[in-house]
Amino acid sequence: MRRLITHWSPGLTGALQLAAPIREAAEHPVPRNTASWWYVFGSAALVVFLLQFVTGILLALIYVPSASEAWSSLQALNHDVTLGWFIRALHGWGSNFMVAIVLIHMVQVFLFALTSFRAS
Amino acid sequence: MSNENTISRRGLFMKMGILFNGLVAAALAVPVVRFLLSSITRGRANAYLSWVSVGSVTEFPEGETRLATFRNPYVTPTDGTTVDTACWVRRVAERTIPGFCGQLRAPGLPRPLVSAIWLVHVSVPRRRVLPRRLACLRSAGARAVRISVQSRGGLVTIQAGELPTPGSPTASLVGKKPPCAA
Repeated sequence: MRRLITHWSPGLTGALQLAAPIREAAEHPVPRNTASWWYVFGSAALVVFLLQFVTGILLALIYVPSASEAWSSLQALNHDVTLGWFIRALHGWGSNFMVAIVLIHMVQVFLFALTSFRAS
Repeated sequence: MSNENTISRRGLFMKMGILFNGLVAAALAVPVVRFLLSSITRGRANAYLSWVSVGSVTEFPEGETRLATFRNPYVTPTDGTTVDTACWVRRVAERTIPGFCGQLRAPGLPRPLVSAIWLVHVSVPRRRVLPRRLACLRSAGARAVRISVQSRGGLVTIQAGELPTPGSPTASLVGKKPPCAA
């Protein structure tokens, strides 16, 4: 099956080659004291940033940043484009969540660095 | 004591993590794909351009102005009755050049459902009521917007376009310029 897929699509071959490193990274052992929910916020910030990036590009395809067309383009985005309202809400709420998550992440990094510095 | 059928705690959490991440990824990916394919999958035409009826031709005697209501074709499910728009329709004499339309806020006039009342003069020739496209002008702030009027099957229909709102006083069509903006 794998041979069939790789023969059919070179692109999928690359994806299959990525599977092993991803699995290795996911299963990589970490120190027990770092297995904490406090370390979630770094990757969460990255995920929200990527979400902002993707939804921002999608919105830029529709939104017209001009005084005469902005409102009409938002009307089209909210009512005419399939799930346009959802993408817009995702971007809006994502921006708020990103600020909060990055702030929490910064606090975590500084505080943990401070305690580790004192411990040493 | 382990055998091959027993899943480890680590393996269980790994599978659960993959499952939950897959669910979240799908919840985000589906709207993105639907958004990108919107121009292909969206079947309906632009609602602004649809023809809506304001009543039968016989309801509008020549030379008289009658009140009519039509439902704004550009609606959302939560709009309710607020999109039932009142208008005045005046059937003018035969072969008269299409008349004037203007916003009317005169006191004492019936204001059935909405605060804005539109005066629409419709020219429908008496002997030529077969599909015939006429037009009149509706004032929209400082600009004039053309309303297309025609009779279809005994009904007076108008192509109202995007009705001006406080947020859009110039009532431009989405993605297009108004057909006859002054």
